[in-house]
Amino acid sequence: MFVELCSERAQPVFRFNIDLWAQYRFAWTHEGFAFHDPAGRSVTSDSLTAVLWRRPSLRDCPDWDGGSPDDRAATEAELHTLVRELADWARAHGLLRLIEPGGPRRVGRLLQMRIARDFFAVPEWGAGWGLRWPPGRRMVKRLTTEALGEQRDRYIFVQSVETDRLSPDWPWLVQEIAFGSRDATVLYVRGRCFGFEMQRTRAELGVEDWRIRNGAHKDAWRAWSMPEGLAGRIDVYMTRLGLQFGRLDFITGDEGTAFLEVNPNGQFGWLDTPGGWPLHRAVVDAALDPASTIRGNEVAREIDEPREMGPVGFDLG
Amino acid sequence: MLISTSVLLLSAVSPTMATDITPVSLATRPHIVTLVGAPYDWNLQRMSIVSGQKLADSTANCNTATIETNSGGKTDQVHDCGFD
Repeated sequence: MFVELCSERAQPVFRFNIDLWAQYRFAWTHEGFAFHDPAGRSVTSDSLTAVLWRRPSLRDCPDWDGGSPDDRAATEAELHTLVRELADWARAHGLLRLIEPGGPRRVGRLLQMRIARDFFAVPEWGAGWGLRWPPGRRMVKRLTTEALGEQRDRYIFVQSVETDRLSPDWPWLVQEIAFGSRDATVLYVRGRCFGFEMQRTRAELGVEDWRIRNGAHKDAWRAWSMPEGLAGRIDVYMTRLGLQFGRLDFITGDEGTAFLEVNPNGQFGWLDTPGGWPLHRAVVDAALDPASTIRGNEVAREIDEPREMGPVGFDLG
Repeated sequence: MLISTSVLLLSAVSPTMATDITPVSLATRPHIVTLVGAPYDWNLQRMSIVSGQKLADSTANCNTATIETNSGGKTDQVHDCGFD
């Protein structure tokens, strides 16, 4: 879709699909780099005017069965590092736009929730180990999306547990169960907010979190008339995080709207309206605007004003 | 309401029990995935307007691999959009 929308703007575009990496040809020397794709198209580093970095993933990579599992793991690590290097190159040349590759790492879950308290209702949370959590049913989240198990094919999805049963030997992130009954999400693109909510409630879906559903993109979403003032608060919040792009998740209900998390490189394609493609257009417009350049000096401001000088909290003895 | 950090740390820690929840015990496979192996249409990279394009045909923000999902006892083939 990005290619089509760029063509409407007579904007040449070249896409590198990392999961089809073996079908491209690539070379990088001190003179610069060049890609060739199987369709005969090519791009060189000196011809690029903007770079949009999305979620490079080699999971379920097709058309590549060569080598041992160790060979494959080593190659995937090299490829991931290479695309990071490409992003670094783009940033160093002032060409990286809108989406910060290191955003999910720079703006982690705990930072998100701490700053979000200034703008939204945020269910109480705690993280730690070496302690026994108090009794009660709460949500367990992960700080990362790393896969578990020998096959690296299992994940810990958001779920509720009796927290006093959590082993004290492991680090946990637990959170009070949010009020509300219906999931909502907002795509944020440089000050513009696009809100959506699920047509069915969590109870109707029979889930604690819609993201664990198979084929969840088939569930119906509808435009969400956000509560008055929410879009403005999201804009200030994202500015405080130093993010120009992200997808924020909320849960709504009679008691109000509670913040769950923001993904700085979130997916949004299934939410868009075929034909008009307002979300894709917003992203393309922003990515083509030099004002969206990622400088590499983005920071999250946890406090509005620096603290006045007080006692220094270091013991150098 | 979760209690404060200091109270959590000052509370006596009961010993680990066999019935305690460990990370792996909460882990599940995300969904049944079978690669279909449909070839990628490189013409999607060309500068042509594709009328009537459906979302699932666009790989702009999805993995180009087509996967088969098992949802409600029915299977369908979609691009893996890797929900966040």
